[in-house]
Amino acid sequence: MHLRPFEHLNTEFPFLWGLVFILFISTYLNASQTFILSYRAQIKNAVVISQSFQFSQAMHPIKAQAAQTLTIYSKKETNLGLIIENNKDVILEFLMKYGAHTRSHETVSDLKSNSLIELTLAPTYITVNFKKDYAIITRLIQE
Amino acid sequence: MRKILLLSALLSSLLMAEEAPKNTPVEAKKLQTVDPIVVTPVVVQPIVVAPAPVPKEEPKVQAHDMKKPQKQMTPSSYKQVRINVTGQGVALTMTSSPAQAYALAKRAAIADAYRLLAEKVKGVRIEGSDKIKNMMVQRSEVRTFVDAVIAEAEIVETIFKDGLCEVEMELTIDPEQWQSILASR
Repeated sequence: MHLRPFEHLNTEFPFLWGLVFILFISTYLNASQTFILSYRAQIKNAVVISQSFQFSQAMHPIKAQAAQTLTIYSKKETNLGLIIENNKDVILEFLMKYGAHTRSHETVSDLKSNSLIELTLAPTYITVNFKKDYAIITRLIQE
Repeated sequence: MRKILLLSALLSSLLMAEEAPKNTPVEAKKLQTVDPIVVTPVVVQPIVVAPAPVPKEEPKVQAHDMKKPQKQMTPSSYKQVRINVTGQGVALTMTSSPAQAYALAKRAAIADAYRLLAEKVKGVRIEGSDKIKNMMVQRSEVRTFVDAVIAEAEIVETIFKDGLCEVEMELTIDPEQWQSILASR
């Protein structure tokens, strides 16, 4: 018996392939819009002694899912570096909510205390989109 | 008959005479020197009738006032656990502007708050050592170490006053999610 192409398959087959394709496209984000961000601070005896904030464009495409978003008002500002720099505290607070590594060493020697705290935000992928006067930062979760 | 009556009268008179008290002169004297009865006035204390103590009325316990016995806690009946901490940070004295001082102090306070949360949630590793020489303590040292990843912590309040920044952070733990992990520690 002669069968026409796809006749032996379920009629839902093209629909399923379409759905898979849409999901693939939505998760496979373009590297040019994806950025990577990390932060590290060292606090000695309740005083910040060093901070490093790293922000750069992703070097290769990643497979990730969009998670939480943060909207920042930035009127007439399209320079991403400046937006990030001006809203560093807000962005860090937003990202730290989803996991911040804390490491603390404290030494009490002859009743004198010395403490060193390291607060680290692991490298996190984000995307930044501009909509009118707003910058929408989306946190990405790698698959 | 007359004789019998006379005899009985005589006998009775004799008997009466024997039974009568013989008042000798000594006894008579005794009787005369009997101490006079001194009647002392008796002071009668007034009896004060105090009112009887009224027993305190115990509050009547109504059936609806009685607390129900607490149910045995099961993981599903736990409410959400909230942990609140306040971290403190100090601004450097050598800063270019008050804003920078505030930002740095806040950063230090946040880090301190995260550390306090980690201490509460995960615990602290403590090591101690004492160096004793010639029966004298030369050096006493206590080292504490905390290492944890804290997520879902939120800043509740930030206060900056007199160069000291205080950040109050809150962490809500869902027991259903964390009970097995925290209980196994």
